[in-house]
Amino acid sequence: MIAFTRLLEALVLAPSAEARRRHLVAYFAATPDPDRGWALALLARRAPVKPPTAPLIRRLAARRLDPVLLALAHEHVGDLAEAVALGWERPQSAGDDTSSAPGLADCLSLLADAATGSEGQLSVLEALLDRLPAGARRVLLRLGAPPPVGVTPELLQEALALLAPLRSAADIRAIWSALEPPFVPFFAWLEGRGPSPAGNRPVGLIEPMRAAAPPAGEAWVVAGGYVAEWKLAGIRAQLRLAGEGGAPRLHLMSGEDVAPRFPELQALPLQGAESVVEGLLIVRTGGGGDLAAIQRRLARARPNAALLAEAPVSFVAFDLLWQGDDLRALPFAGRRQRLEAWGRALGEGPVEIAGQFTLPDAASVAALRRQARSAGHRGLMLKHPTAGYGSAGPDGGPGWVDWPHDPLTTRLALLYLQRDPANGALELTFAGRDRDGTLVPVCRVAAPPEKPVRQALEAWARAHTVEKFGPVRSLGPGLGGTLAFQSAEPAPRRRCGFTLSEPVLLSLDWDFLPQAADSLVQIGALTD
Amino acid sequence: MKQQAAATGDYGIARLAGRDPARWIYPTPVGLYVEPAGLYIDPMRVAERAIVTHGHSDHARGGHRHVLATPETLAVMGVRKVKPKSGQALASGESVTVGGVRISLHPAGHVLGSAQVRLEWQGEVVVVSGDYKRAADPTCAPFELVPCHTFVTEATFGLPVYRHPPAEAEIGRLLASLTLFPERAHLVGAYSLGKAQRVIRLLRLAGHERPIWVHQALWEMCALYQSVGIDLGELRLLADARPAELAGEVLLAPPNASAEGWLAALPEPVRAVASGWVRVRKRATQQGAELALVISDHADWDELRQTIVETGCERLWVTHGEEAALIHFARQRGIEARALSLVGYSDGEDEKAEAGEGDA
Ligand SMILES: [Zn+2]
Ligand SMILES: [Zn+2]
Repeated sequence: MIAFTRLLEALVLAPSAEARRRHLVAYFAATPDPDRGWALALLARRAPVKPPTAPLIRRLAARRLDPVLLALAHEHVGDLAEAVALGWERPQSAGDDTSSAPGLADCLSLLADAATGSEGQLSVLEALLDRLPAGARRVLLRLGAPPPVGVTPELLQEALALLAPLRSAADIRAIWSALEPPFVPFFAWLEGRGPSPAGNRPVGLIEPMRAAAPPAGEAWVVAGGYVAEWKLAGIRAQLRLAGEGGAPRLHLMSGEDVAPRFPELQALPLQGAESVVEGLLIVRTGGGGDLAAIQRRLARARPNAALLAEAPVSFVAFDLLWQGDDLRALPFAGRRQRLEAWGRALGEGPVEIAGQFTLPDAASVAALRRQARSAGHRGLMLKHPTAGYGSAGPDGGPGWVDWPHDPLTTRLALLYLQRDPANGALELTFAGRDRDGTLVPVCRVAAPPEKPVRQALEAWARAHTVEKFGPVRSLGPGLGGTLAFQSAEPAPRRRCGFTLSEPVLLSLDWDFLPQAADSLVQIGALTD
Repeated sequence: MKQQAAATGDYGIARLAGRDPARWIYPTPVGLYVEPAGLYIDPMRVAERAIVTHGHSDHARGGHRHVLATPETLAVMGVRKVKPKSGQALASGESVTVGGVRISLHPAGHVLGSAQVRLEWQGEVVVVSGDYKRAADPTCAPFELVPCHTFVTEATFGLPVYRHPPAEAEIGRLLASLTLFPERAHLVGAYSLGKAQRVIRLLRLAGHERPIWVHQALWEMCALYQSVGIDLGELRLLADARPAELAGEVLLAPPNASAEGWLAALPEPVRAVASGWVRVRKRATQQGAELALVISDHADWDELRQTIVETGCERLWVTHGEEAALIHFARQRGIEARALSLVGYSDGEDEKAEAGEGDA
């Protein structure tokens, strides 16, 4: 518990990911099993423990602390659990000797074994508080709370990979969600002392294939012999269906298993062999996907009926990586055939098989790209029929190409300039014309980073300020710009009626007539 | 006057229930005034005659005409350029009588030279502790328990949440960080009198033999400590350093020195702060430090309570800090307790000085 306390205190104050990683590596190297495994479980939010509730802490305090002193301490510290932990009155006999303090695993097992019902919990907590120094008492009363900011599964995986040079972060990620605390066989495997805790089965996330960026021009598309899929507005995931029963697992690219958040996918009819299918989780709105809705679903550990009805999820499968055996070395065309058969066997339901398009000529490519934009997709994914899963493409051989839309552009008038007094950052608000020709704010972007441009902007703004509201200057006519963006998403609450996604300032126009600004109707129509 | 109750302790303390020493010692806007002797203790404004408990800036102001203090405190005041026009050294345990008040100084365990003031007038004993601590400190004489009728205490850490761990363990954390980040300079922010020298001495006792780089503002005070026989090992002036040679070394500077130019040249220093306040999470994260060392030169909650009980006092006056909890504790023990601010002590000014100088 002492070592874990030191680790947490270091992680809270560590200023960089590098510092956090080093603290983690040092802790995992110096701490024996099973304490380090429980620490990993707590940091990865995989330990079956919840911090005591405020009422429980109050009852705990009432057993030992003077109410006046507790009130003063609480007021001073601002946090009840911390006030009780630090202000705890240990018996006179308890010294500063920390060598007899219980370990992390001891604490967790005592808490787990405590008789259910709060009296049992109270007695265990009381006894543990008596045996721990102040910092560790604070940790005890927060066991199961979120880990310090910046301690992500990715960071933990990187640190574990540094602990022993035998395994990479990708190796660890691949079996991550199959592991159970306190991870003793996992650490043995990590340090080369034992077999893979996963055995010879697909577990957790299979190292995801990366898509290459598109080469310049368009000639390569047809010549390359690719097939195309929509790049849907969804979240990439791998769905694993166990052969002989067992709940499905659903792994995000972080390695996190989010299956319990998607009851839709829990009830799939089971297939003969264990299979891993890759695809996208999407909430359909008309043609495209609603990214905000899928994020809402991901944020909710147990969705209620209202959310399930409002944002039903589909899994659009595009690849089959495992079916009784590892299929990744097969060419994509072969995997796709088996995927389609797998999908047919599954029948109607929340799982769909991704549509596929051939690209016979340049005209069909151009048509497909236009269609992708107007349907609300994010572009095209091109896949080579001969590529094995995990191959590099497109210059390193056949593979995948991620081909987003070319950005759209619009000409807008500069309406406001805002200077953040804290860091000096300059932000520009651009406006388009409504039906009456009035300028209506459309988007806000950062000013160009070049110093002379920024100085010129500020000088111009000082000379053309119409009004000042704190750090915001409302500006007169004369300055405009060309902006690129990905799409205009409807936003009924905004005066202009839409939000531009990923707007970027391409150029400034120093003698710009407000009449030259694009109309709101024009901009909105660009993505219709 | 007749004393019936049994005498206790070395000073022949007898019970004096019911007599309030506020008749002859009381707070004024200038400071705590001992009327029969005509002098102030740690006056906040320039005074004709003063007793100074220790050299911290909120206790030892400049400009007094005549100051009574330990020889070490007078030396500290010299280094701090607040030397009085005339200084009278009074060694620990010796006494002088001024206006019928018998005055003696006793170690407070706070910083080099720090003393409690024992005042005895017409059989009543008042001890003004100044700042003090009970934990061991290899850079100053240990706190001496002085029985009294009225104990005047500080309460900087007068809340149950403040319990300082052993300073040696905190130094162990600093050394562990040096091992973990051997390429980064470790810059410890510590008050120039007391805290800095204690950190250095504890590092030496823990076996750290590398030169330690100290900021100009600490240099003379460290030299004073060395001259009275406190071995701080090899110190080097930070201003003379090339940034490259500071990698993996310990640097000490006052807490407010961080904005200076030389610091910007350091690649990613590990900033450490040594203060009792950082026990509380919120305070630790507010410091902007990467390493929060809970090291304090003030008594923690347990030490404050222990001391109040052990002095056997009937009355407790609390000068500055977090008074409410300590007063509550004392009253529960049947001790008549009050905050001196209630009778006019200018507490705000003192607190500001404590906060500003990081004397914690
Ligand atoms: Zn002091
Ligand atoms: Zn003080």
